[in-house]
Amino acid sequence: MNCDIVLNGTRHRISMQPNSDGGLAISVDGQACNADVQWLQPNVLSIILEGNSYRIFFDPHAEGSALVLDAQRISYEIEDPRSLGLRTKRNLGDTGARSVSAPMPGRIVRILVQQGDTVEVHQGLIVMEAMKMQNELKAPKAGCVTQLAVKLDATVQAGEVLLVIE
Amino acid sequence: MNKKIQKILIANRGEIALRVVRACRERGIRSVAVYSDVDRASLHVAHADEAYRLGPSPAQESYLRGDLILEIAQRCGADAVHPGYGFLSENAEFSAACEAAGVCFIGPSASAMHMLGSKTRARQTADQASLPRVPGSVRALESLAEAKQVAAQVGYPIMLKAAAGGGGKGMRVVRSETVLSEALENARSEAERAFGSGDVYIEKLIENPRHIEVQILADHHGNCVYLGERECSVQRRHQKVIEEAPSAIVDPALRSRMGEAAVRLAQAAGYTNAGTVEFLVDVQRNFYFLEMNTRLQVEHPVTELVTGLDLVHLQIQIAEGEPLPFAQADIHLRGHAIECRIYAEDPENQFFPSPGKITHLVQASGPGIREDCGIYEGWTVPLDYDPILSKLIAYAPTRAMTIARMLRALDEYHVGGIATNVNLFRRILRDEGFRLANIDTGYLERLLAQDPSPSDRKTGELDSQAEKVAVIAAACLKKNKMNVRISTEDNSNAASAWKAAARREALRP
Repeated sequence: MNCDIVLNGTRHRISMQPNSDGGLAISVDGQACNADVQWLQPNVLSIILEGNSYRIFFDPHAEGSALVLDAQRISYEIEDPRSLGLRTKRNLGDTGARSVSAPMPGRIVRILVQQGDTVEVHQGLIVMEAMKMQNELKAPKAGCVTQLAVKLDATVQAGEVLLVIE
Repeated sequence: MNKKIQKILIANRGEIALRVVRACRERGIRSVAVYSDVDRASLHVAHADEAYRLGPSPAQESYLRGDLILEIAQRCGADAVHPGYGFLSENAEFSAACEAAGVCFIGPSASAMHMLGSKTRARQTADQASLPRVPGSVRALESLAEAKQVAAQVGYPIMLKAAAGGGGKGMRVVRSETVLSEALENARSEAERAFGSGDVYIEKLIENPRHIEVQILADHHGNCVYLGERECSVQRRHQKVIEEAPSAIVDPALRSRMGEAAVRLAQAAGYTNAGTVEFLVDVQRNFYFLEMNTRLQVEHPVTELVTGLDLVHLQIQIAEGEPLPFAQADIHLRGHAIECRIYAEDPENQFFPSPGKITHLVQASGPGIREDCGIYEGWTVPLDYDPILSKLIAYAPTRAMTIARMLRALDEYHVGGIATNVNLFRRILRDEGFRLANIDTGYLERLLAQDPSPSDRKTGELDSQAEKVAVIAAACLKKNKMNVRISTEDNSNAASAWKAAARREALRP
């Protein structure tokens, strides 16, 4: 699963994919996280991130999305890249650079574009293989591929930036 | 009058009703709860041995219906009534009605309550017992002319106070004679509305005093002891927020002077049972009698922890006619206790009350933590009464360790679904001024007027790891919801094209 989470005005891209040991490979903003998550109760989550233990409470009845971490109430917004409405809205107003990162750890099996290419929104860019499945990564917006950061056959971590579209 | 009490009706609700139910159970006494419609599912009802409906939710039609409560007491064969705090606890007529009906009122006699209940009469009693008191009038003001004369005598600024007052209602600070007339009118009408009596008197305003009170216990055999003091200076709008025992500025000499004064007042009024004598203490550590509360106080647990006594047990023993089982010399204070009053109110939204359903509750425990609580997960906090949810009390050998322990307990504590003031306590307990015990009754308002310091981390100042954790958590919740959706659909036989499409969508990586 991939989604964007807006927290304190900053957009974070998170990717969570099942890994080979049955756990979750998590990356935030292209950085793989050594995180272990465990639900304690329906609305209580335990996260161990790099050895630090956190307890998070959710309030399912609150207005908007919010969680409580270290006794602080944190509001956030989720933007699901699969949600077409949001994606369209975002693409209409979005003129800055957007990076495309690996949603899961895997291997690059095909690269469909060159640096400098102009691409349409939803155009296929890279095909990745993970857990014996091939997934085509599509352009989040129309623009020019200004950076191509991976080579064919490379192994990438979840969240690793693969290319940038401007 | 030595007579073992067999059954106690508790004319109250919430945490204090449960507190009394527990003491009854410990003493082998049957407990009787009463409840309004909205409190049918309250904890005190479930814990009591017997429970009877009082009436509709408004207090006027339920917990303040002394006639109804006494009728229930007689009908169910309760031989005593414990009034808790608030509601009928300081109502001399109710106490007298109980006495007349042969039901023991666990508290002082109607006559002692009468002498001390009105602030003006209490000031007269204080004069008889030669207690230092705040300068001002000892009778209700009869005219503006009299008010002007008294104010000029004691000197401005002065305070107008309702004789029947409490909780900050009917109070006005007056800094000059030009606004006296208007303030007098306002105070009178507010007092009339709140207490049914427009009687108002004048006290000299003591600037930035500490509020320190002395717990006393008096039996029916002429014995009266003081159980040390409680520091209750952390207040907001004259409502206590944090209480502690002992006070950081009270030394043994001051303690015995204040304690002996409190005992003199109780004895002058023929007082029996538990009571609290409130004093203002100025920067020179002069103390002035303020008023007497003729009941068990909200903050009684801090005294229990530092004295090792159980005040509700003792209240019952005194009501049964037992002599106090100890003398003054047997009372020793040990350690330090702090109480936080957890309220359903939102400090980030002007302290608005936040009634509603408690969707999640994680309570604090571990060494030195006591919680007197009237809530549970799934319970709905009614909007009809005081917003107190719980009292979290920490006890440790020193004040510094108690503060650390309370902060630890607050970290464990979580109430979901409604706003609470839990984070306000973290802010106070971390504040340098509080830690140094530089507190007076204006302390909290001054603290709230400041911007929170960096140690009171706000969402904007999350460290990068915590921010990452928040992002992961938010994504986990979303993922969890998706899984729940899928499994629900899997269990459903009536698969529709819409559901199938949604499932495909959800399963797509």
